[in-house]
Amino acid sequence: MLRGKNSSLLRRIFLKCAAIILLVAAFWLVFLRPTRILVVNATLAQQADVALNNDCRRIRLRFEDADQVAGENGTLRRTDAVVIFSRGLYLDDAQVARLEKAGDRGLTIFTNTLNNQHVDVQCNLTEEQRQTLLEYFRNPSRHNYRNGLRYLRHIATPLRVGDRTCEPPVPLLTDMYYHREYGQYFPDHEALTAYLREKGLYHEDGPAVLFISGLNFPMEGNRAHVDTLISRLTDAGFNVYPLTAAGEKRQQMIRALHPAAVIYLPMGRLGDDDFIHWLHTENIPLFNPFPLIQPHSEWIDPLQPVSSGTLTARVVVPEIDGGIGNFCIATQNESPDGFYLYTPEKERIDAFLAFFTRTMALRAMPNRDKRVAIGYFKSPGKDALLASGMEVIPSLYRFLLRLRREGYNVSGLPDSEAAFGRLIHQEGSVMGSYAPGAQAEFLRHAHPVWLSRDRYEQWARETLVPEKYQEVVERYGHAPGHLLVRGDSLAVACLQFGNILLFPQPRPALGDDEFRLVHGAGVAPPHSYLAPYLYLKKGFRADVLIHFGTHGNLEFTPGKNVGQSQADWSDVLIGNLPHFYYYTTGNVGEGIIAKRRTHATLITYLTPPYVESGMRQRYSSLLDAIHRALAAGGADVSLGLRIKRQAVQLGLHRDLELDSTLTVPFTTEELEQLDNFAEEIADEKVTGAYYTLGQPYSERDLVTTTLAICADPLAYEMARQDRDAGRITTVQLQDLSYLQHNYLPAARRQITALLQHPPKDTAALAPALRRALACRNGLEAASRNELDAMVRALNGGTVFPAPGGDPVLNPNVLPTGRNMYSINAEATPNSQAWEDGKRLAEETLQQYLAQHGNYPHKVSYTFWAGEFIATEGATLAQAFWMLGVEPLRDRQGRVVDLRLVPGEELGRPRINVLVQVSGQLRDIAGSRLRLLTDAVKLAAEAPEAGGWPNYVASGTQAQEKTLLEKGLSPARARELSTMRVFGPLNSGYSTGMLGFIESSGSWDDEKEIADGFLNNMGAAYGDDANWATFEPGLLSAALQETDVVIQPRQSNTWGPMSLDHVYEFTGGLSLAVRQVTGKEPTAFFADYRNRYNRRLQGAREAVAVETRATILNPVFIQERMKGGEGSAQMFGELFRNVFGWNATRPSVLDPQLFDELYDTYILDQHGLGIHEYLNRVNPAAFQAMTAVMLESARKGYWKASPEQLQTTAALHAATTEAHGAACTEFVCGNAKLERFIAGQLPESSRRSYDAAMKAVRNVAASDASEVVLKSDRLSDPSQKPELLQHAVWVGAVLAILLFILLLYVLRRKNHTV
Amino acid sequence: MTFLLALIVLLSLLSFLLKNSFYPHSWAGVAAFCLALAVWLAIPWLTRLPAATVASWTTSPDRMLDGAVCIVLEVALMAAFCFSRPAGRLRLLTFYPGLLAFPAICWAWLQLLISRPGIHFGRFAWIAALVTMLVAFGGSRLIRRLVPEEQARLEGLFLINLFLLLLSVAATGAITF
Repeated sequence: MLRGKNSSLLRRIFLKCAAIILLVAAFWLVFLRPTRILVVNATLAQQADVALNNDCRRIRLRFEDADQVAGENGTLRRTDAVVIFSRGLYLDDAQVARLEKAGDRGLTIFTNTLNNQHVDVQCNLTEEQRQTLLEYFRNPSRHNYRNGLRYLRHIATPLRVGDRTCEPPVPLLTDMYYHREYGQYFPDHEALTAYLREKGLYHEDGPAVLFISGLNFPMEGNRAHVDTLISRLTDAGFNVYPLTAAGEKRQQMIRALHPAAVIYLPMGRLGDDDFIHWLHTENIPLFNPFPLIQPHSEWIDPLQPVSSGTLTARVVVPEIDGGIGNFCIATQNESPDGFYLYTPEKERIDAFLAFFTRTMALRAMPNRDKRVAIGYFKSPGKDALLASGMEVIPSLYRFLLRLRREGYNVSGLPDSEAAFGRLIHQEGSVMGSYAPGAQAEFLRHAHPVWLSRDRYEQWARETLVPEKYQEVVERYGHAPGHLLVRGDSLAVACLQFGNILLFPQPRPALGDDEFRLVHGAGVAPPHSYLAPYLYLKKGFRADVLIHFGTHGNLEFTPGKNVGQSQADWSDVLIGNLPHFYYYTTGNVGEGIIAKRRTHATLITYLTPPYVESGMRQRYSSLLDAIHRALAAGGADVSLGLRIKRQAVQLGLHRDLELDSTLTVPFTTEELEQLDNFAEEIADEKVTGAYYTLGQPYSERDLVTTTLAICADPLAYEMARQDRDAGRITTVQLQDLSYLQHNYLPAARRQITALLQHPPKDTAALAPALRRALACRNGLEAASRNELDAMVRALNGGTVFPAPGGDPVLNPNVLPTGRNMYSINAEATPNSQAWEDGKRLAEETLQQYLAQHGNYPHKVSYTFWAGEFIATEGATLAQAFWMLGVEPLRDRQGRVVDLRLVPGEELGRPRINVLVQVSGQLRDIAGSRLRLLTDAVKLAAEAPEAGGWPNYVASGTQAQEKTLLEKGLSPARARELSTMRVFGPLNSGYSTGMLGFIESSGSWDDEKEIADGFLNNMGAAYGDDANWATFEPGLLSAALQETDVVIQPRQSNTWGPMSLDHVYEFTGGLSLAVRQVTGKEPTAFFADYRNRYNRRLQGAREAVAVETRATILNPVFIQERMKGGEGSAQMFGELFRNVFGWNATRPSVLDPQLFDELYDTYILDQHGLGIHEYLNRVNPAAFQAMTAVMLESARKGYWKASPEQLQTTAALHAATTEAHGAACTEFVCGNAKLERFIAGQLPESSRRSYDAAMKAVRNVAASDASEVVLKSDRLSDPSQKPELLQHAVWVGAVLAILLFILLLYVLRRKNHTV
Repeated sequence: MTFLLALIVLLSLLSFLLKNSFYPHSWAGVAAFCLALAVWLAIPWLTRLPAATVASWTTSPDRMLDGAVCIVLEVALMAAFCFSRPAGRLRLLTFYPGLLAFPAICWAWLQLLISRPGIHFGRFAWIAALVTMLVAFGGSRLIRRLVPEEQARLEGLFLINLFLLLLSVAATGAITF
């Protein structure tokens, strides 16, 4: 009984206790628990600001990404309120629904949104509360963050006890000046000036520098880098005016202050186009240093790129305003409290300050005292000075003359351009390590600057961080190295005229057998490369550096894409010198890299003029006959046979792979094909002799170039008007051949007449014709503008910003002499590019289907920066559409997500893709490569639909299988199975194969080229986890099933024959595919050169068009022969590219091309006097041409007759004897070729040829072999296993076991007995 | 070598099943569950194990020797069990199910994993664990049912282990010499 009572008592006590605990818990939960606020999508800086300004103990903050909250596995539990920062946030419908569902459960959700932002989720808030919260969070400051959180607590958890006070929001102070001290605000610059005077911070003669750091900087705490910069600028003698203002008011305040310079830190543009024009007109330079939202450790890693968001906001957009000096001045690092705060990078702030000060100092310094270093580019040997489309020596000479007129000290400049040219070749040469004889000759006759080892090492220590110098020593040994060395001293080839120093940029690497890059290994330049840059800074004490022409190699030393540190060579060697770079407007893709990686201000120069190719006259009778035959419907057989005879005679049937049976005429379809092909050759835009800086186009060139730029648009406009009037159909409008026949001649006539007799009043002209006049004026003004712009820049002035690219594609690049900018990669592919890309992708599939009867499994693209910028992502769009994925945009037009196009809608298989990128593209559009990888992942998971296979899925599995077979773990193989974007190793820029292919004596089999390509281009650029990852065999696994390769082409200034990078990338890719799959892929060019007709063209056809319109066209040759050594150099380059194609993809070439080259150049069948011309202006190019032909014969690419060989060899030997061996790599670096050439010569010539070659080689040939390459030491000999020891162990174990067994058996026997 | 290795794996698994056939149902179930659990836990590790590393083990004398030692120990224990069981001695050995089965079955699953690109790893781990449990439990029960004579199973177990020993010696020798 008692036990029962006790039990009941205990139960009651237990229940009471439980009830009390429950009540206490409930009370705590309802009234006492701190309010938990979740902050979503805040930047690290915002997180720090919000957290550090929260002083309420009853508020607990948590920060998460949107995916963690709204993603499929996201959770919003354990939260009382949510604050979403919507800037840069994209949520899909499902994610928004998830948030709203949480709101339905009672969660308070507030989105801090602006009008143009995508996400706006508000739950359980009245309109008044929402507006109040907006006031708090839109005006970020210490006060508002502190009180905004308290206010939100009050709304979300009204019953919770604790400090419930909150002050009302304070609107952010705008349109005011401020200074370092918190709370010091000034309505205008006069008030701030008074304050600075009062504080003793005003410099009476100091220039005023407007400093714009951001809207909320005056009020927030995370501003250490801003304060540091203000202090340092003040200490340097500037009067700093920190401003916070936006929009029109900001522009007004800047105009009122009229500062000497503007330093602009915020994201976005400084002002509209008119304001930027005013800024540059007033000669107010704009500087754009930026804080990086990455920790210090990531920043100093050269392989870690600056994130795409920062790149766009801090670099791309300021470039549009003509900003310069994009130094990274702060990084974001974790504080002891766990929050990320900006940390000033003191060394970078010093560097920026020095750059800023030196640039500003140019304004006050007299020209006669300015010391200007000018670097030019030249390949080793007697080759011409190089610059894309520019005759360098006359350009440089004209530029120096202009400097002299401007008062610069250019004493000693020769009186004639010819003498100047001779001096440059004599004193400013570049040497290859393969020609020690030539080196010795140079050192005997030239007058280089000699640097002792001690001096050189001292300068290196003062300039480089120790690790960087150690890289050089590890790769090339101790100073002075082996090139241009005498005793302990190192020669710097250069010429000095007064205060002007001219120097050739040396070769960035030595050693000819190191084409295979080693992943992760440093690629330090040799001592001979560092020496001139150290000398110009420390010895010559240059005030400014100019690189003259497109392009050098410093900007392409591997490393960070922008905002470099001292771990990047391109930054170290330029340092803080004001740097200007003459760059062709036609190559914006590479120009942007130079601009960003060497703090350069680009000054564009014109492309060579476009000239008549003369091919229309040559083909006129053929074209007439074809048109008549087509009009007759093929009924006139004799006419058909005549056309065929003519086509066969011209060799056109070979290019189109048509039959040559002269008794059977072409079919109508073949005639149309021939017509289009001949029309294209006739209308091919070819460039004439290279451009000379400061020398305007001739009147004829002005007309022909204006026609090249404006005739197509006018013809299209005329046709469009006819289409709108119902006179032609849309199909005809889109038919290029139809436009060429029916509208182009009229358009050309109209423009020509206009240019010859321009009206005084242009107002009545049609817009297209007005544009033609403007274009002509732009071309005319360009040559003057280019020199004026450089002179102004050297005076510390600004250079107007401009887009870049081929003038034909973008006439807005005119006039040149401006600072090129890029595009916002985040908005690509834009809508036009998307439509073009879709159409071209479908065209690719249709053409492949027609040729092969089935769809391709995989299409491999080449992405280049120039094409990407010019088309704003058309090739990217092609790749997306092949995968069956389309881009989704936010309200600002940025492509932020992807949508899978349903299989039924696609109506075809999903085609797998692979993309090889140049380093330039990777640097400017890294985010697009990540997006492409996302697209591959999306497509790989798509189910098969509509009966169409998914080649992306099957290809992904095949790639995974191959990787598994290669020995990767299943997880790693899975991870890498979706990698489709590949590029150069070690954040390099090219395949690294050009030199190797041209050093053809060092390889015997093209397989070696393919292996090298697969290695050098094997770095994956897919996602953050695998950025720049190199996995042996990954690229070859990804290349499986490739059926098609596509190369973009967006400029009329180059083609597959005239640009070596085309065979380097597309030829190399084709060769690699052939090696992997055993078959050669179909090759196309995505031709973006005509804005109104972007199309696909077969590679063989594209090569044939350029070949016939240029290299085999006597009119073109004659045009080029009007130029100097630069124009002549191009012939040698064309020949080398023919060789390159033969080595990588010979099928694009006409098998008879070498015979035709032989007739044109060796026999000079057109009587152009080409031998005399080449021997006179550039014998090195002539030697290169003959050497290429002979090397091609040696390699079996040219099936030359003995007579052809002997004639070519005799010509080669004669020019070598007359001018000495040019010692370009092709001529001097190939012993097998030398022997082959000697074998073709009669005895007498052979002796003199041998003597000439020996003269350049016969000095201490062991020099190069002493160079110790890092790669040589990478493979240590493996240890042999100690077999004997293992055998003893195994034997011993076996013996023991047998002994135990024997004992046991014996024991059992005994037991049984 | 691959064939030899496959044979070793097969024999190891057979040895495990035979050994488990001496257990009552509940013990056999526990042993099968433990093996399945181990497999389930090991699959994520296996997915991160490069096939090249596994292949390099089979060509590494050091690794093969280590393996051979493990096999020898296992064989020794199994042989001891075979000889002691009739006499009712060394009862502790009854509770030892055979640990060699674990690496053996992991190797088998890894081979399957490698040969099946695209397979979902998470799902694979569950299926592998389930199949392991069913085979381990069902296999041992099936053997018990098919060969009810304990002596015969003991002889089988001994012979299999003897063969296992010879194979491991042969495999190690093939690598070493």
